Amino acid sequence: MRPTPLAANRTRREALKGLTALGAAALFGRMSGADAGAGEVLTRAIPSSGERIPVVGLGSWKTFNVGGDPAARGECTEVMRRFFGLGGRMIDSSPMYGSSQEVIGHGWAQLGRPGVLFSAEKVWTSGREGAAQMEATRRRWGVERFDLMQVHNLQDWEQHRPRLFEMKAAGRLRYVGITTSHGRRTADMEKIMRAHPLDFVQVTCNVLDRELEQRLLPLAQDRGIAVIINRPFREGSLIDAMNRHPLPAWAAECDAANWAQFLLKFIVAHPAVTCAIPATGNPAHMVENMGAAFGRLPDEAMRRRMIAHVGSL
Amino acid sequence: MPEWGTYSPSDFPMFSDRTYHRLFELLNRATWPAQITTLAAGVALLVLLRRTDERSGRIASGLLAAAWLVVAWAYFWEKYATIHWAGRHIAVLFTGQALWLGWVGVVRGRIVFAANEGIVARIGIGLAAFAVLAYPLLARLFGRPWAQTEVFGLAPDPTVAATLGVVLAALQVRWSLLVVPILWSVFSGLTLWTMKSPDAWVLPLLAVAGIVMAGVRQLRSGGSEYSRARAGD
Repeated sequence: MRPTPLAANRTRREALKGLTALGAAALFGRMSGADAGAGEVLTRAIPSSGERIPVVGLGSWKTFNVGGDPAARGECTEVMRRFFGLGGRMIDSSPMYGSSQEVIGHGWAQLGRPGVLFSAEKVWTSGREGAAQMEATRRRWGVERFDLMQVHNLQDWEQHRPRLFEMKAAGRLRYVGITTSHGRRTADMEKIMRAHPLDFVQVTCNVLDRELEQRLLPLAQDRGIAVIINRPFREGSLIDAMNRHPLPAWAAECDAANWAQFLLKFIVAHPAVTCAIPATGNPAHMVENMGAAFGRLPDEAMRRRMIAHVGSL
Repeated sequence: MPEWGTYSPSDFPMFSDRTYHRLFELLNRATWPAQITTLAAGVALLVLLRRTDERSGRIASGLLAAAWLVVAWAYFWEKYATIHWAGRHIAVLFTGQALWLGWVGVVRGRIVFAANEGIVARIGIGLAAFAVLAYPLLARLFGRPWAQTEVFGLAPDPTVAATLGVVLAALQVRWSLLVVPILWSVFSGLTLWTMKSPDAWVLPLLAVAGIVMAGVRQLRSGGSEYSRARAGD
């Protein structure tokens, strides 16, 4: 079902309600003013539907794979609570990510299954086993249907393709996508993007890995395909490296209060990008990340300045 | 099946280092006070390694096989499989190693120790002693809490290290008993290395030392009449 403007407002209201439940004062009391939450969350339209989603989502690679550890599950639930509370919607996972799906399902249930969730999943098996895997995944999340189902790393794409488009036509999922990471198989991805009516692609891109800006991102724009950016911090190594240096004062010109926001705002400022999905199991980092979805975004000149600055460090 | 050629080693530790080390805390909590039993079994193993009679070899093999079984069940099946889809496959592999140890060492009595005869046997005993007595200290040494200590007979790395020691301490090298320990040493080392764990080198280094020493033993005495007679070949 495509959301109406009213639905979008309701989404925001639900998010604010979530904030109340969280105890907004307690949450914002721990944040600096620019960390998150000032003004409306920035959104981008999914080209195939016009539905708007926040420019920052939540990945779960490694960070939500905590098995049965009750303390770690509690932290992941807290991450989700803050994420929804700050207007976040898209959570992305995969059968490859160990217990992440169960942990997301656990957290979502603990939070009372907030309707703002935009569930993004993947199928990561042979075409023959795809239906069973997607059903198992759905049960782990506890959702009625997924918003987005992506073929993980193009695994057996040709076999999954007809089933996914049938499911979309039957209303059993809303969007179809494909994924890669670390710049793998981009030539294959481009072929598929030219040949099929995809709703989403998911790729790796960050201030240092920008090869996709040359061809794939413009192609996505031309074809009207939404783009999700994974691993925006190079699995943490980029932000670890940046944290050894002071944030430049001019970062304030795009309302970036920390390196996480600097790096995320660089990504989501690209006009082809729909959202970035940094993964974290740390509630404080989640708040920092979500801060990138508020305030101003860098223009092209500032993006070039960001590239030069990071390259010089 | 996934197209494995499109993946790199960094794709496979699908968990953070924090989650990985927390797993040992959860294992220790779930199995306490089994640590006392496995530690006692480890000390008994060290005593048996210094005895040259066939019965001691059988008992040591039985203790070691039991340790592999416990690791397969308590760690891989119950804990590791919750964060890695390969966990149950590895549990099967460790169970296979336990059964093979039981067959070679207990049923056929083909593991007889050389006591302190030669440098290789002494290194084997030293390696086993390190696995049983020193491995539990490593977590603390590398800045992790005591609760995350890795104990012989429950955690895979010290159990594998002890097995390397037992194979070296035997009169004749049983290469078939080294296959799974070496595979796990590579896997464990890669896992810790990709997580930037400072102790990633420990088990691979022990495995390399074990292979080199096993080769030395093979060259020096593998073909001697004495070894063949004592080992039952």
